[in-house]
Amino acid sequence: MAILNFTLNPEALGKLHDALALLSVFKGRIGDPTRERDTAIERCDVSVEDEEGKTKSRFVIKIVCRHGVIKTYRLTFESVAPMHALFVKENANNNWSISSKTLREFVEHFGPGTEQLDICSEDGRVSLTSYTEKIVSGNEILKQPLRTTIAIDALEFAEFAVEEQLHIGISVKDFKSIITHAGITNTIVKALYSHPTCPMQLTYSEEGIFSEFILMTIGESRGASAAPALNASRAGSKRPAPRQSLGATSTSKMAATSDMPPPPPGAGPSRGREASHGRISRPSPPPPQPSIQVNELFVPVGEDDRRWDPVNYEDEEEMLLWDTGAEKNSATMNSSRNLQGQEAQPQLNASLANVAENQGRQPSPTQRLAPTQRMSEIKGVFDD
Amino acid sequence: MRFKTSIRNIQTFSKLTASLSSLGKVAWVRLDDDTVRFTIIPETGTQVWASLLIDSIFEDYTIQSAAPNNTINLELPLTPLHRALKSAINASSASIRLTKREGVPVLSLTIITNTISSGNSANGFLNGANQDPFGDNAFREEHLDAGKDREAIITQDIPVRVLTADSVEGIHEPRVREPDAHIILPSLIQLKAISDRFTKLAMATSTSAGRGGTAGNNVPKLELAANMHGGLKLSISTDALNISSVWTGLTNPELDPRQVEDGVEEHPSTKLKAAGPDAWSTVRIDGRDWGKVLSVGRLGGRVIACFANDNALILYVYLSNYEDGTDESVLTYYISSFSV
Repeated sequence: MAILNFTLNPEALGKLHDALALLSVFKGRIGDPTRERDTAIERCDVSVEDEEGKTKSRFVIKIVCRHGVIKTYRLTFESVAPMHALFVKENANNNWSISSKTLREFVEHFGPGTEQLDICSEDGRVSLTSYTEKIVSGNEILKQPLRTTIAIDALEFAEFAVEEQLHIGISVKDFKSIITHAGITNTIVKALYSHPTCPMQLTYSEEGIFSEFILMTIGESRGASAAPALNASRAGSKRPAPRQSLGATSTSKMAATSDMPPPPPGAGPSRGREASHGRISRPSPPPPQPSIQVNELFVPVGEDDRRWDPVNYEDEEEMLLWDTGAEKNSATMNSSRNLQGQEAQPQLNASLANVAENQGRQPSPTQRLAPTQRMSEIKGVFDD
Repeated sequence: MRFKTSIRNIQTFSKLTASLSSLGKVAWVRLDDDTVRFTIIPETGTQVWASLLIDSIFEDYTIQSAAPNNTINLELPLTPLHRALKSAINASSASIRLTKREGVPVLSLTIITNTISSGNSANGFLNGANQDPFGDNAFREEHLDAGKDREAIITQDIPVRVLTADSVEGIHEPRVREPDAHIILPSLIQLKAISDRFTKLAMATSTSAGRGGTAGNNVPKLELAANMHGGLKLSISTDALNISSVWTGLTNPELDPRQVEDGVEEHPSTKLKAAGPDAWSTVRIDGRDWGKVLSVGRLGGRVIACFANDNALILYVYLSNYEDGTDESVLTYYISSFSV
């Protein structure tokens, strides 16, 4: 029995796609409207089947295309109590907010390969440092990633109320992903945190999507002045405020530099990548891969200089040849794509009713029919 | 040991790094009182010895070491350097110094950029703090500040290894016999486009013939030839095709008699010239390696190619300098010829 039914117009389908982009079946299937001619989507019916006693719950997406093609996705789901990292807002006495575009410009300076991001402020300057802790020697030293520090005026921030000299560390990869995502539109990113080992919350909202991320944090373990005695007070992480209210700079500095054990088991959920609130519970699409984006954003040397780069002959598809290889190529690509989908998401039982040649799962590669379309012409279900 | 300098020309330095990094990941850098030298010696392929006048990329240059001429030898990874210099493209100033970070030697690149304060002024509206435009706060400092640029200081630490003088003592620039022909190359972007196309064609025809397999190693070599009458010929031949491009009307620069030991008359190039326009000096080179070499075209230098028949091709890339001195910054590429 369906407990929920609704129909989406093609525009809304794009939004639904965004919401489901985390599932690998839909990954990267953002449509290009210009090549939606033959199988344009006319309607999309969505229903949620969930019934007590039944073993399986399904989220059914039925896409009605032109020419009577109907694509049906049945995604099984299991209802679970939502897991949400604990974040005690009241204890978060440090906060800042900044334009996402400004922050993104800064974040672009971070090179690839680093692990940690340290945030600290002193005398009206805010330092963001991306670094790696790995200790290496000999020739390996040269393979160390760039360590980058950006020192900016606190006035760059819309608001900045952070304890002086408090070092807090987060995953630079997560931060870059979040900021790359936030930087797509001009919004304000807000950060809230108390002290190292307690989670940091990053929030921003844009066009009805409210994004909230809770990040694990660590202290500055690079500092020499580790004070193990202070470790005892970590147990009281539920009440971080008292320690900070000591106020004395030196005390908080010591707290920040005390060495960092792995977070207590209870902090597990705090690693949760993201959690979203809003009227509709809806995960935001995965942030674009920063490694690619970052480089593209440095326009000035860009395009023109790239023509001097050596040709990568292995990756070149385009070749001055007759078109004999085209069929073979698309067959291989097709198979690899299907395989990827299967491997990545075996538990996702997305069966396809009517359109076999596009998304269908053939029993084995050898039994596959030769494709009749090039990959470039194939429209995905969510290519709208 | 001390080294500190401002970067005079970030673009040039960045392009130099990009060109060098196409041939090797790590450079040996030798800094002294007079020159900056970058050397790339890959396991296979072309060697580069780039000798630059300090003024061509640096200014306010200070160097100090116990070695003669204040020499410092470094091993420097080029990819992080190039990435770091990208941060400096729009900088108002950038400088480099050799220092230590947690015990590890680094070249620390300090970049000062002006940030446009649009972000904050936009936030000013969002804050909506100023309720009463005629109140005491109407002319707060924030407003005065709004149009002003603020500085962001970016520090990029590139890991390096400081090399002892002993460890680099045995490394010498290759010696090649006097060339048979020397010629100023045509536009490198044109040469690169044609070379890349030829290599692609050769790979396409040879892989289809050899049914895949180890296509990489069996790629036919490009043949590059020059005469002493302004001619340059680029060709490639496989079982299936034979294709060549010929340039004419190029310049064969005059030899400087002071630099030729046995006299200009006895020089191989004089003999080749006398043999007429049908006498060519030829080298066979790997198309992919050649493509990497031609990446130096982004620096826009003047390129003289020296051909030692069947032996080697040497490219001298002269960079234009700020001061018109006699010394020039030059990148020397040593490309050995494959046998037939």
